[in-house]
Amino acid sequence: MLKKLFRYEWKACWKLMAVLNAIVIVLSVIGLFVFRNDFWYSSGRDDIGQVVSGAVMSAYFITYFVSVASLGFVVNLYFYIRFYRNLYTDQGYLMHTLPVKPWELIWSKAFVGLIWQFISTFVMIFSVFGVIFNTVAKATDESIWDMFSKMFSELFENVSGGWIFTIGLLYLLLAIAGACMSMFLGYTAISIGQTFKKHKVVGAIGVYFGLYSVLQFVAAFFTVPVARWIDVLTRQDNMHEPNVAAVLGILLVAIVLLTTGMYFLNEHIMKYKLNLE
Amino acid sequence: MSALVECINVSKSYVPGRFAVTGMNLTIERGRITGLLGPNGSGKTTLIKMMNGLLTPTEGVIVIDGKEPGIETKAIVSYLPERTYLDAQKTVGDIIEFFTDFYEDFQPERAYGMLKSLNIDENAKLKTLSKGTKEKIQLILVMSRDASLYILDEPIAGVDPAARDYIIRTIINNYNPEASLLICTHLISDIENILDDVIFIKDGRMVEQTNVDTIRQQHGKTVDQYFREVFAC
Repeated sequence: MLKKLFRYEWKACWKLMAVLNAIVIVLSVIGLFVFRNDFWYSSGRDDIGQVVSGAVMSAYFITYFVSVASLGFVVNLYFYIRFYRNLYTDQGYLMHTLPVKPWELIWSKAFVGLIWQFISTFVMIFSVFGVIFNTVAKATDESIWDMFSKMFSELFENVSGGWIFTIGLLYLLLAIAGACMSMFLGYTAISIGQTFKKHKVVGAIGVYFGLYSVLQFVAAFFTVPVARWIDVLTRQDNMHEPNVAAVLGILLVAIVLLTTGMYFLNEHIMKYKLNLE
Repeated sequence: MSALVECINVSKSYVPGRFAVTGMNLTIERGRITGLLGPNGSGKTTLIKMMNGLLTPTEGVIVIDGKEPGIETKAIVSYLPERTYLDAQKTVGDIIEFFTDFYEDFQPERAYGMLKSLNIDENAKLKTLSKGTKEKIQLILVMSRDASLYILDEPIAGVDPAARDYIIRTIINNYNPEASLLICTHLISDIENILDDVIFIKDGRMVEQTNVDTIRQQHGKTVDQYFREVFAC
């Protein structure tokens, strides 16, 4: 049944998600190809030419940055709203009477939401790097490849060869775990909110901000003192990378535990505390 | 043969100390059409929700075909809530495909046949259809299943008399004759001719469970008249 639920969830969401991502991609392509032209960077133009090109570039970059910055937020918000509408409003009378388990309802939505989160994140990252590098390279007369190599070297200048993979992998796992936690944070807030007698949506928003604050505190509680403890124990010149890896590893474990807790809370509410109006 | 549905001392409290349903003991026999009747706020919908696994009893247990409400009972219970629960962005055909996928006992050809008789286009989006048409579509979907138990919550409320006749005919002509039907309604006079048994509920408690013939023979009244007498304000 999970596959079927996933298929219908994907079908319901993909068009809007594709359009949102396509907007960012189209704007990126415009930035990459239109602003490659020397016209936009030439200092030999007259005043009117400079004003016009400046205005157009400003308008483009404002539109571009707003669309990129809001893409991740809008994707998250859309999947929170969909979770609420499909499971806790009138549509819930259909979904919760299907012969499926609550965990299947939760994970079918989470998987689709996470896939689109990752797609959107990749679109944002490649878009920003592409457009920014392209524009800066054009303005400074440097090649894009040289700029990228310089950035990568600076990012890992204190990391020796063998640890690049480990720390890189930990960052990747953290990104995935962080996305899962973000998704379940919204789901949990909505599920707790629906247990309120009145003001379920407002309650869910309040719970969201409350939980977010608590999670930030818990994450800091795990990582800051433990990181200092590790640093004291291993204060040697050649132990920088293990410190970083240990802190990232502890943070990863903390996020996985918190996300798991939130998932089980969601499942419990759906099994025993469901109260559709 | 054992009853299809048994409620054993079922109670439900939303707020500590206040019960929407109290000490409910009832049975629904196989192959019977039962009316669940009671005034507003008497606990009918709460009881129905518990049967469908949408609420958990505070006390007691509900057993459907030997099992408590869960995946196995949802596979054999066809439920029509009193609200529109379909995604308005979907087409009628999408919904039929959805039901075909999730319910093994769903008969799509039966559903398409009923839609055709109502001239409902399967490519129409639900949001373009009237409230009455949406309600008929929901009923068609529910009655196109070969379920063991059909639970219909106010199936004829809010529709015109001609539509009520259509809905009642659809129910009788399409339900699995070996199945049980539980109909919750206020419009008793429209439905009583098809009922075998009735359950009267008031203030969360069962007042009486009897069959329609007994009411007519022993009390010399229709079910509607008897209801007005039992629940006189």
